[in-house]
Amino acid sequence: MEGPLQDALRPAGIQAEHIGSLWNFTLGLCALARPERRVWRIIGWATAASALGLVALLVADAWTSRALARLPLADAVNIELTGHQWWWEARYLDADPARAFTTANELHIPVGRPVLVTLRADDVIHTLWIPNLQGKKDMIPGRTATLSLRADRPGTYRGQCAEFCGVQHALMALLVEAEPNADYEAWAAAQRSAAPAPVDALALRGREVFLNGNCASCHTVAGTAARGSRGPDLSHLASRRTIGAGMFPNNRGHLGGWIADPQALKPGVYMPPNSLPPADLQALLAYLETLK
Amino acid sequence: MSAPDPKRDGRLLDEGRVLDISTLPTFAFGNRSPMWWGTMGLMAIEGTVFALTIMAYFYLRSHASAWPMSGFPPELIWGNLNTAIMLGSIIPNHYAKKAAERLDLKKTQFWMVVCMLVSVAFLAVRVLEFGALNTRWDTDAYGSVVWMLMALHTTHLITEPSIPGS
Amino acid sequence: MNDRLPTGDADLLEQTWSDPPGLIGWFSAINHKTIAKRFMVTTFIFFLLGGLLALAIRLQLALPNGRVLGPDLYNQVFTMHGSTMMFLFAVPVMQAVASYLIPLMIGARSVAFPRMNAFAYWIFTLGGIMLYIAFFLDIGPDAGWFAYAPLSGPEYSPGKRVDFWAQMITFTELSGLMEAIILITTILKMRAPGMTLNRMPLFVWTMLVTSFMVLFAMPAVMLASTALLTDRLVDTHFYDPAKGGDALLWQHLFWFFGHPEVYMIFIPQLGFMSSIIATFSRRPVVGYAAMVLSLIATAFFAFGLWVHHMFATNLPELGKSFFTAASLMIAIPTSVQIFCWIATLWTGRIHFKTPLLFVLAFFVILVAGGLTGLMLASVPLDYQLHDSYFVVAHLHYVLLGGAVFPLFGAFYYWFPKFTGRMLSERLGRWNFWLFFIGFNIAFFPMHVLGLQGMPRRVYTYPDEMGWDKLNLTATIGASMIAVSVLLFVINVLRSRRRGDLAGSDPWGAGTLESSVTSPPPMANFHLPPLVHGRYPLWQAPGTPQQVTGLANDYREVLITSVADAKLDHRLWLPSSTPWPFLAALATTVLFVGSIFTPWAVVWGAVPVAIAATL
Repeated sequence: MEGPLQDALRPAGIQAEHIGSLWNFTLGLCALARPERRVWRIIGWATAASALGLVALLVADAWTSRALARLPLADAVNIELTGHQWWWEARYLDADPARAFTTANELHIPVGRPVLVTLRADDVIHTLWIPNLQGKKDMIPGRTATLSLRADRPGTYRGQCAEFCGVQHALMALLVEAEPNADYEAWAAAQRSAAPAPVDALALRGREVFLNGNCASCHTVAGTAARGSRGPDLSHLASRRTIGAGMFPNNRGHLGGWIADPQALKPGVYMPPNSLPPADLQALLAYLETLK
Repeated sequence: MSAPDPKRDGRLLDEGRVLDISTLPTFAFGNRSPMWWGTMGLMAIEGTVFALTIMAYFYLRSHASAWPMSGFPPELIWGNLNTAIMLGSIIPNHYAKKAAERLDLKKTQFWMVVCMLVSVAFLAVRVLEFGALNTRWDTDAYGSVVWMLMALHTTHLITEPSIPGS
Repeated sequence: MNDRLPTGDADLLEQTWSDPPGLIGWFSAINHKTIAKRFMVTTFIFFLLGGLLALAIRLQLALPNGRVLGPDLYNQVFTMHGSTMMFLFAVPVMQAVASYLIPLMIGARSVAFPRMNAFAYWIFTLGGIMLYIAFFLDIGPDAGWFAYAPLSGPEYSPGKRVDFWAQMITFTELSGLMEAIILITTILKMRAPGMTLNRMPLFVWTMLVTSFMVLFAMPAVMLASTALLTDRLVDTHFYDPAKGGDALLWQHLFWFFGHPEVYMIFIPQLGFMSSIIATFSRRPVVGYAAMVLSLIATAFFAFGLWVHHMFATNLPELGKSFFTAASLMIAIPTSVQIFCWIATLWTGRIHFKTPLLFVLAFFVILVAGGLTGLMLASVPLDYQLHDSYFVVAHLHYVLLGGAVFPLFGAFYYWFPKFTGRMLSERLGRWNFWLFFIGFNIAFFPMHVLGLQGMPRRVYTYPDEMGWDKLNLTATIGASMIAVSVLLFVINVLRSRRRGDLAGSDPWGAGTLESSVTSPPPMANFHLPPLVHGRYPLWQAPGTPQQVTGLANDYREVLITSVADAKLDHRLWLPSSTPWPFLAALATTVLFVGSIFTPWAVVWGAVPVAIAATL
């Protein structure tokens, strides 16, 4: 089964293309390295040839760096991404602060428009790496970095944290959905407003479980009193394809298992187990499914 | 071309096939001595540690909006006094070296005791210096790096004079 | 060099330089060969432990969603693997081999500071033992071999785990620094009369250059780890951004050490290469001056590259380009050396034995690793390749190709000198080919895995990523390596008792260590030589030939001048004493205690001072 793409050799965006071209050039140059035949003059010529090859590489590197830095940023989508142990907090910024919104672990971006990502870290050093779209950049506590990219082909691209950040570094992934601009705007509009309040009794009961139990102390759901900030924003949890930072499918079975005991799926995460009576758990899941 | 001197060149025996070096001296001063090289090696290491710590000081300073971070610079009187003591210690050190090179054991011992007394005085003033820093190692990064520099230096002052003492 | 001491004198001389018997005698031995052999065995044991840890990693990663090791244990395992190989094997083993061979190659009876030499061995061993005890008690470090702050700081790595790691650094770097001082002083002051710097074997040059690098690089990691310990134990804020510290300060200090470190691992190997290639080509290495200058240039450049480990941070782009240029340029002196060796082989009469096979592997593996290094030196390429399995592939190609293969060659080459017996050629070839093929099967796929998006230091990966086949292949290769190392161990154990007897010069080498018996006399040279050329055994003996007049009833050595090795004076060296061991023990108590309480520094200093004085 072919999953989402996480592959530097299949660039789907301009930045990753720049780097891919440099890779091909460098590989070609390295293939020219050959052993030599006679003594001193050959040593001299071989050294000179090596030096020349290195200069060529240096020029190619500088050219690529320049290209990477010159992505036109007009009409960019601005995202502030903060790395946490072991999930991604994404705040979509806007000139009008009322249009800003927060989500987690899954980004949607418009094809063909530049995206400017500001990188921060809340605890330890993390690294954002979406190989199909761009090289990686460190997220360092106390510092702010930026990364610019653009998807030129629609698709689902997988990113992963690339700096060892603790016990669950291996399970800290990110999905990036690149879609036509109209679809992106529709998604953003939905993210901006709170999910509609639940109507059926089970979901209403589930909301009670959420607000009165442990959930609200760590998670935020827009439109409710839940304003916790230690865990991912769940306002539109049901619109995401995965849970656990890109690791498990977002369906009832996995979500139920995660809520009951996240330690069984991702041992060491900061979310504690929640032993809920089965009826409460079902209600909670019904409620969470309304958060589209 | 000077005449061969057994103390410097040894003696050739057995029709020039064997060199007898039993006439060579059994010690030497300065960079002729392996101990000099060992000491220089240690100085290179310690010098590097201090150079790196000083660079860390300036590095942290370049990232700080205020320096000292909490705003209180140290009082310099005790540090200045200690600098004077340190510079003054060149004198007994020099005499100890000269006495050693003259092979005058009594004078060498005398001047080395003077050196040790000077370092004891230095350490006493050092205690007062710590009190005048106006920051603690756990206040902020400024305090940490200043205390690290002071602690490294003080450790050296405790260990170095005790070597000749032993 | 056939003259001998009269038998009575020779026996007395051997007695003077021998190790005392019994258990206390075992701890009191300070003859440099005795210490060096222990040092080699100890570092090799750490190599085996590190290799077992690597096997554990590969078993866990062979299949997606592996269940062999849980995340916490896996993180300890890969941290221990890296820390063992880098701190407890790679540099110490070179220093161990050097401390055995250097006096023999320069015509001396000892190293310059034999008690410090013994202390350096003990402090190294005790530090390694401390680390492994922590690991076996499940409080081993788990923040990676380079322990980036703030992950390694007090808030995100609570408990003692990282403290043990940071203190292990203190132990091993102290040992390394002392060894460096010993080697520099020995090389500069104790060479046989007539062995000018221009006539020194290339291996001796590499150890001189490496030792100078150690003096300037190791303090950086000592300072970094000490500041980490104070951050963790007494609340300093070096790496704490909230109080004015900086996470990147750790990286700068660590990599200022870390980059020269890999050259400190690499450069001694270049010395092994020169020795082995000269012998098996039956001619001197081409271009002695170019070789020496290349070594020195490499050492200097190595200090100017460290930021290439930090390209993914938000440092200024212009600064990064400078480090790209430096990282590319360092390839030039290494290329010169490679061309000179190839010229030597090409114009010599080659003699294919196991040591040469391992050395030839260098040309394939190290060059491949060097090429991937050029790729990583490019900032834009590094943006994709950094912290992925591509780097894991690169570092293993340069470290195994550049260090471990030549080291195995060196073991095959000098094992006869150490023990008096030859290793089996047949087992040696099996060892070599299994290692070479297994290595490439294990590590080549990792280049592809990195390009396909697999980050490093992950305890598992999902099965839909398509990384499973290459990971399984890598694990199979790793198993082949394990078998080949097992063959080596078997070869050593069997040959010690039943190998062919080696004479003093089984390979037809040209340097001084081959002029003495195998194993050498305890006093190395009964009549130390005078030297009149670069390859004394390949030249007609000059006059005078030998030195006489050193004492037979106490340990006396000849000290010569730095550049031209002219006679200077005689020096009385200490004989066997247990105090280096006891001082190391006291220092261990101080170091380990200070992880638990700062007062250990004060109280522990007293026994250390006593032991060090006595």
